Amino acid sequence: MTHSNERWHQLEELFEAARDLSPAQRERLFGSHSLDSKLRQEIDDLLEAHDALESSDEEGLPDFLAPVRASALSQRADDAYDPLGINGKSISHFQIEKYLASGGMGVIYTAMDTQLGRTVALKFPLPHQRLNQIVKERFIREARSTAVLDHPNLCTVYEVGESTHGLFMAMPLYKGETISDRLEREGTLSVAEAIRITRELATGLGSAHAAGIVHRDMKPGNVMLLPNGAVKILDFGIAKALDVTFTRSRNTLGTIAYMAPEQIKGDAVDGRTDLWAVGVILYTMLTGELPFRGETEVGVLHSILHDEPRRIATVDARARRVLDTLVHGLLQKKSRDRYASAEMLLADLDAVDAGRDPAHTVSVLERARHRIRMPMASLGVILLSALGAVTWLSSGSRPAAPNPATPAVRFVNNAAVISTSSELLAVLSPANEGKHVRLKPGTFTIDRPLVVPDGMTLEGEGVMTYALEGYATGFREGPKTTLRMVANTAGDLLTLGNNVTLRNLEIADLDGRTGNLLKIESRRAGDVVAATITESVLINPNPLTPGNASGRGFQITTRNASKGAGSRAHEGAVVSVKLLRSVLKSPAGGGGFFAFNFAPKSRISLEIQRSLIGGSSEANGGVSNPDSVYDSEVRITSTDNVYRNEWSNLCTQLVTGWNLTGGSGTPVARTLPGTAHNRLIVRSTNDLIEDFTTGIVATGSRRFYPAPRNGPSNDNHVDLLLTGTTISTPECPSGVPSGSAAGMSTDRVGAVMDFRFIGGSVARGEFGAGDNNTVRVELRGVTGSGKRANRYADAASFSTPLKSELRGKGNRLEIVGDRKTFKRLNDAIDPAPGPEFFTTKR
Amino acid sequence: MNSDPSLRVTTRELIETAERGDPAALNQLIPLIYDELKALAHRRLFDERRQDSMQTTALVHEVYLKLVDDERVTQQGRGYFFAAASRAMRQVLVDRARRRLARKRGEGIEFVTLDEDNPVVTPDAAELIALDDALTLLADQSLRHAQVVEFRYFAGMSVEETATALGVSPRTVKSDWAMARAWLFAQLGGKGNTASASPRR
Repeated sequence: MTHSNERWHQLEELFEAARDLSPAQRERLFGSHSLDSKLRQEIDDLLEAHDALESSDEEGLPDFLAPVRASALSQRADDAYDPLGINGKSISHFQIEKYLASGGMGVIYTAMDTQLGRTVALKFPLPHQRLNQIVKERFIREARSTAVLDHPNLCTVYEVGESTHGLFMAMPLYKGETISDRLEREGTLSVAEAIRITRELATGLGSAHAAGIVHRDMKPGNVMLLPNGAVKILDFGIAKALDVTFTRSRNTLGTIAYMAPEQIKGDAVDGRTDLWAVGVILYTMLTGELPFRGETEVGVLHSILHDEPRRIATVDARARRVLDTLVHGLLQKKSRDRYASAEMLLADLDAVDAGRDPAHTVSVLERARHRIRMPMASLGVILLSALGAVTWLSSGSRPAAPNPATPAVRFVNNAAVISTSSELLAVLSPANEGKHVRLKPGTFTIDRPLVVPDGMTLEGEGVMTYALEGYATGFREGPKTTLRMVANTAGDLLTLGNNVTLRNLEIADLDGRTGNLLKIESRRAGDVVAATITESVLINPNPLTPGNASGRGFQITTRNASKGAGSRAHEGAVVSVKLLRSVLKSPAGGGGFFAFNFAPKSRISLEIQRSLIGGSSEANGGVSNPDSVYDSEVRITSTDNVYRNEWSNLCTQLVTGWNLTGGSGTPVARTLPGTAHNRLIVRSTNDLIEDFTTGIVATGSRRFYPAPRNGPSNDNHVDLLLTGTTISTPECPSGVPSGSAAGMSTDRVGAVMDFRFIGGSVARGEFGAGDNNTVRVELRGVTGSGKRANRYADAASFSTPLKSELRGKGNRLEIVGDRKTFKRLNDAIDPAPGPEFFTTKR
Repeated sequence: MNSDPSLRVTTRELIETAERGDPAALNQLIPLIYDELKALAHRRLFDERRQDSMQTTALVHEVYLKLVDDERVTQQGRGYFFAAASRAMRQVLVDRARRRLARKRGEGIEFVTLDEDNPVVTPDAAELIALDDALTLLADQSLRHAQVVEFRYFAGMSVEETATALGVSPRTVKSDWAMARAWLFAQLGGKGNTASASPRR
């Protein structure tokens, strides 16, 4: 599936046009387009790489892995190791002694300065770093500019030079360890020590920022701790000199974890970018964990852009409050919400130390919170034991840092009326929790995924119309309020906080974008999130991405944020969503709802009434990924709705209306523990599910791999009650040749079914279905579509019956009632379940 | 070539489902192929220090013979099979690489049970993981470009086979391939001037 990323297409066209041209011809070509500098850089890099591959490559495999190999080799460290082959040689006036270390930025040797008689560290950029003449000049310029930095917390660069082994930098040789070494040794640092180091970092950064120099690559490996307690920041300005940005270098997980959101997005960086990294370092020093983690680089990046770090747990509640303020002030996604400067951070640290007011709190909201939590009487003196005696007072009135780009929105009695996109951005600040915002008629453009803060109501002016049957059909002609995504930025368009209400709004996604329209998810263990969408129109022009949850109309999950790196499942989370009298349009098959528990002991409840839902929907009581999920439940109550496939020619594309699963592992080839005792309860009343090739699939448990990769899937259940619901699947023409656009061929008509109910299901008929997984179905007054390929089984592979020894114990499809009554109450379900599935016990 | 008939039935059914346009069927095909590939790879491939495309191609074709080899399967269906196989091959190789690196670090995390041979980190492991990560990023930019690399590199599919599987022209595959590999080279830190590849200028 191609998604039309406009920028990529532009790049693609330029590359295609230019790749066989000479440099001069390329220059002319690009001259005739007016390319922005970023795009120009990208296309230059691509073409350069292309030329390199063309010239080095005979036939067969392109060696695009060559640079990784170079870097992997340089990571090896032992005494005899000499990656540059310069041991004992003289470079300029330095006599090389031995290899010392290597990192993302280069290889370091110790050397004797024969002029001054001192031992220094010589750093050489890695051979795969791009060092053409322009970059070399920039490197030298940057390094020289950092040489003007003379501050006890900054590592001074003695000299920059060029040799036959490339550029090098001479620096003092510090005997000590980096913060990463220390953390590796000790796990975490004490609060007092972490704060002390943070202060030193802020002092050093303040001095550099004052000179206009931003570090850009602050991380524990770049900070030396000397035995006398001194703290030295290494590698100033090198990141910029070597142009280390996310898109241009192969970053390891360790490196990107410290990147600020603006670096990831390629936005402008400034001193506040370094402060973000200080926040990550502080957090890591205190907890031994990164605040933003993921299994893959993309996962980490996503977490940096979207997740809130878990609160730091300390025994001392007052210390926690101080740390919360600091971390919160440093790890704001938007740099304008962060501490504005290193000095501001220092002022707060000073205040904490000296027992004065913190001069700077993070946001109006935080201030308000502190006020609310602490009765005025107790706001006097609070001792912060970990730091010595500290006075914590209610903050005084601090003028907000003026930001000309952010319009002021005036709230009267907690409510405001807005009419522009920039006002919308401004009101979505976390500081505006609990506010009521009315959006005037018109179109509000959105250029990035947005988060609606807790307690906020967003209300537009659309007026819903209804069908005779009572379900919503769309807004009446006339004034309405539209939120329209206009940028091709991946991510969930709107993420709703707790107690958020959306009302009378039209929300339209951009065609070709990757992401869900609405997301409602747990943010931490034990979290409670409840959201209501009412009388709104959601337009999702995007298709589902195979194999993941992207492209859904609304995605509802309790999460496992760790994806395996330590347990960070949001155990005990509760997420409730109501969708009332609303319309979800899905012209490209992008899904309806997606309600999955990825955390144990969690609950999702979804209530849908009088709505019109396009696209395919999916729910799963509990999904192991990668930690076990157990005792979790999804409950769906659906009344008077129409679920309609708006996507494809009815008979050319297989689309499932509801795909319901009690519990399963996620379908990836990794070791996953068992999924046990999860439940999906669905109550459908007077719904119409139409034009899907499969109406409802209900599966007690699914298993994609045998042990040891998938643990046993036991005791998972779907409990499905349909009352007065109609399933209408298409009658596809038979006898049409396969591959014709007109329809499925004769033998494929067998794919169209109203129901597929299987107690325990496996992806292939070679391993067991686990035990005691059930689908329990009760149908009252249900109308089917007549002769279809309905399937019913206690245990089965994709559609093949399982060998008896693989069927497991107690996997069961139970149809409530007896067959005669079933046929009398329900029309046109053909074939009806066989007699062996009926049970009279309730 | 003999094999469990039910496996062949399931495979065939999934391919047909994919032909009818249900992408989820391909996802179900992947684990199935994964297991077959892994078993074969254990015997044939991992004796060698490096995997090259010839070997992976042979493996994928062997699995094809085992699971499909049915003249009723259309050219398109065959394309679907190889698409799923290239993903499975990627998973087999990357899982193995991750496991080796994890063992080297002493973390003892076993992602999959594959083989227990010597836990030395060869450059292959790091390379493969780097490539896997970069491919994931490329897929974010353009799924089709990432798929072209997956098909060509991990399953050793020809330009024509790749074109059939993706439903595009061979010409498109060729230009996608040129762009994707340049992108990967740059992404992996190569840019132009590296020791192993010098640009012509």
